[in-house]
Amino acid sequence: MKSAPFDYVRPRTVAEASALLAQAGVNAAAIAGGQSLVPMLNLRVAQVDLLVDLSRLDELKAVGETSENLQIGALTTHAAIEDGMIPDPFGGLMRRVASTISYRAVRNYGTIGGSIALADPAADWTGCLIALGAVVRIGGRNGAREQAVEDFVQGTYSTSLGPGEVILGFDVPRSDAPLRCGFAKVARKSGAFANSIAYVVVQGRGGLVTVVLAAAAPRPIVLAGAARHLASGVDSEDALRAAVADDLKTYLPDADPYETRLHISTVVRAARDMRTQT
Amino acid sequence: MHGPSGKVSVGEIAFIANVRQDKLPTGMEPLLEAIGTYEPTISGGVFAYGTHAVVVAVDPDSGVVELLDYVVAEDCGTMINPMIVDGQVQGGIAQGIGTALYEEIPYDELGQPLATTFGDYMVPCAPEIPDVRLAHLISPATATEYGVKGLGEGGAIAPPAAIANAVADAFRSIRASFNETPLTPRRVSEAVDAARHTKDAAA
Ligand SMILES: Cc1cc2nc3c(=O)[nH]c(=O)nc-3n(C[C@H](O)[C@H](O)[C@H](O)COP(=O)(O)OP(=O)(O)OC[C@H]3O[C@@H](n4cnc5c(N)ncnc54)[C@H](O)[C@@H]3O)c2cc1C
Repeated sequence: MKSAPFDYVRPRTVAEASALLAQAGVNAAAIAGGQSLVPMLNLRVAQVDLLVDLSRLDELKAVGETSENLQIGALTTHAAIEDGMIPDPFGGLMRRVASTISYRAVRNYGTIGGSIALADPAADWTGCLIALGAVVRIGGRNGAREQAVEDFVQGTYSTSLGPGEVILGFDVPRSDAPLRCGFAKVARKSGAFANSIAYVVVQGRGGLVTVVLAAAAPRPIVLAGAARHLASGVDSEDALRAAVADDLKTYLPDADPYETRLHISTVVRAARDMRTQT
Repeated sequence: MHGPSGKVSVGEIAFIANVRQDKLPTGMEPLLEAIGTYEPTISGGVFAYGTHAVVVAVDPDSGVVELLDYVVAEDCGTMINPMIVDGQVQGGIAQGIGTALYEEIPYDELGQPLATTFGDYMVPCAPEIPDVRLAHLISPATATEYGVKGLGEGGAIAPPAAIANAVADAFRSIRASFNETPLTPRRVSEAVDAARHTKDAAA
């Protein structure tokens, strides 16, 4: 199928884009890489009057590094991250995550901003950015605001993005101690959306531990018990399994026995993967 | 060949038959075409023989099956074009891996088909197909011209049996049984879990 007809504009400034997106009576949508929106338009699960192309907004392309943050522009493609075109002070985690998203053809166009704005429960970046403690920068008619990605993503295809707002980019905090990051994902086949993704981020030795499980629920889940276990320094996979099982009872009470085994196994593999990172 | 010079080149025949049909003797059909049919003396079918061997890694919890090595020895009699033989076996295996691990048209309890696009209907792509190693045996068929045999089935039919047997072998100690294809991660994990419970109950 092909999309129903729509109009198209390519603004030059964020203010202009914002105004176009917020027009009363016009069903407008931002478009970045089009890798989710165009298929949705073609399948007619989405229908718009006006596409506002963000691709010429330089403000959304800026990438920079300070001692505190890595700043990633919303328009940064999965492929640019995969290819190491932007710094990755997170032990190579972002490069590795990028390389497993869909197929290269999708990665060439798909953007990190589009992925977070869409908030697909099975997307790869939401869980990753939450695990890294990232903050999203948002621009709109009333200036800019910031929010933790963890709070920005509210549920299946649901975010805090208001009318006329666009994602400008992300600030990912750097830690003083080197990060050790682990990641594991199960999908039915290459390029398919995942059934379970786990991220483990450890700051230095004996430092803060974050464990995030994605593709399991409408939004990624931060597993506090698993993180406590890993922070305790007790090196037992059985104990980690038990800790994850407890977490799942709390955060995912409706999981069936297979889902429970699946999610436990991705967390355990992510922890193993973290240990192999120096 | 009859005529003053006693010969005419193949090129000239082809040129006249295809381009200068006015030069053809009256009544002769243009173009060079020949059709022949042939039936072997035994017409019940002359099949290829094949053996598939596969090494798999299975995660019992996630149920994910990974193909580590895949070897096929096949005998299609005389190989007319060995490159096409290899290609046909390789392509057949890709199809068979689809049957074994991926392809399925499930319905929900109301009869709604759940796989209506290639987003839901899982077809293996290049990353899912291992580098298959092929060995050829050539025992010419006695009942056919040139000793040829059929070939196409050789790749596609065996993978579900070979892969399911390899997965079963991985769980031989707990006698897990895998009786339904495709061997999706959920089915594999559930079969292992059921066998573990049976074993625990027996112990
Ligand atoms: C076959 C296929 C397989 C895929 N597999 C995976 C996968 O395994 N994992 C995965 O994570 N993703 C996967 N994707 C999705 C892919 O990552 C998309 O690129 C991504 O979800 C959207 O990014 P985009 O730039 O293409 O956004 P678009 O399609 O242009 O837009 C998506 C949505 O975000 C909005 N939007 C885009 N940019 C902004 C912005 N800066 N500010 C505000 N709103 C914005 C749009 O309005 C739209 O609603 C797959 C896609 C395809 C086609």
